[in-house]
Amino acid sequence: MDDLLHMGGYARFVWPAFAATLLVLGGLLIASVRALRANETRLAELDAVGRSQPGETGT
Amino acid sequence: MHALANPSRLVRLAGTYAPWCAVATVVTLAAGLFLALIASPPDYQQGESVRIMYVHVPAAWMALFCYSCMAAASAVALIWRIPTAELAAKATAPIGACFTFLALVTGSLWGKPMWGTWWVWDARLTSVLVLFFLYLGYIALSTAFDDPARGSRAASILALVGFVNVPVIKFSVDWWNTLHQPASVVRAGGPAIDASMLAPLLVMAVAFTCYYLWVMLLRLKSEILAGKIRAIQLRRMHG
Repeated sequence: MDDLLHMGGYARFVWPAFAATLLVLGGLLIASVRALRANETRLAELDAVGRSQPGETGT
Repeated sequence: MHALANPSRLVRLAGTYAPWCAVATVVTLAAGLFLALIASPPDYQQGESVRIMYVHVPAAWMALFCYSCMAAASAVALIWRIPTAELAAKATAPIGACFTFLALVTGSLWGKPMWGTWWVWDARLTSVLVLFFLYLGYIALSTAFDDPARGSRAASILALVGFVNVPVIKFSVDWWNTLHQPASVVRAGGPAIDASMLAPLLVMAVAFTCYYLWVMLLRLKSEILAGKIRAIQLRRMHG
């Protein structure tokens, strides 16, 4: 385990590289899921309003 | 092709395939990280620092792959006027930008111990930096206009013009003298890399590709819904 963390003396280069990858990809994923959820909620609200008003067709 | 041009069917397709891409991403990423960090040997010259390769090289491949997808989708959007192709390109841009950013950052972290410098203005590094700015330019253009159609058209043209940079990046290590090493996997005569190092590299590349498909589908679905929201709001305003 110590060997893995130490990375033969290159720990301060190897671990930041992997950490940056996981952080950036994870961050983009979370942002994308949040944006999708927000749009789904907004569209459902608009559809609900549309249905309550006669003559509106929603989507 | 028709199914892909129909926004409502595309939303359903995205909803169906996104979870599968999610599962594939998690499984291949776990396997890839295990191979990259634990099961693969250190390099006889570079020692443990070679492990940076397993995120750096797939990220750089994805940077080029995403840009190629974006340019192809932009071409389809411009030639056949298919709006969903524009949305696919728009959904791809931030993912490609993130991969390019990661290729630059991890390359820098690898360059410091191996070359003795974080950065050099040579052909490979500079052309990848240009790629990053092309992505940012595309994102800025596609969101700059009040009328999304006009912005997307301008952005599509930028994506196509900027595609000349892709072969420049690929062959920059052959055309110019550079600190960056030449291609060792995708080259004439087969890979010049040992199987124990090729395996984690390819598994990580598969993981990144699954990630791209997953997030692209989520973003594409989100873009289509945003378009529907705009249409409803416009109709209510004028109706």
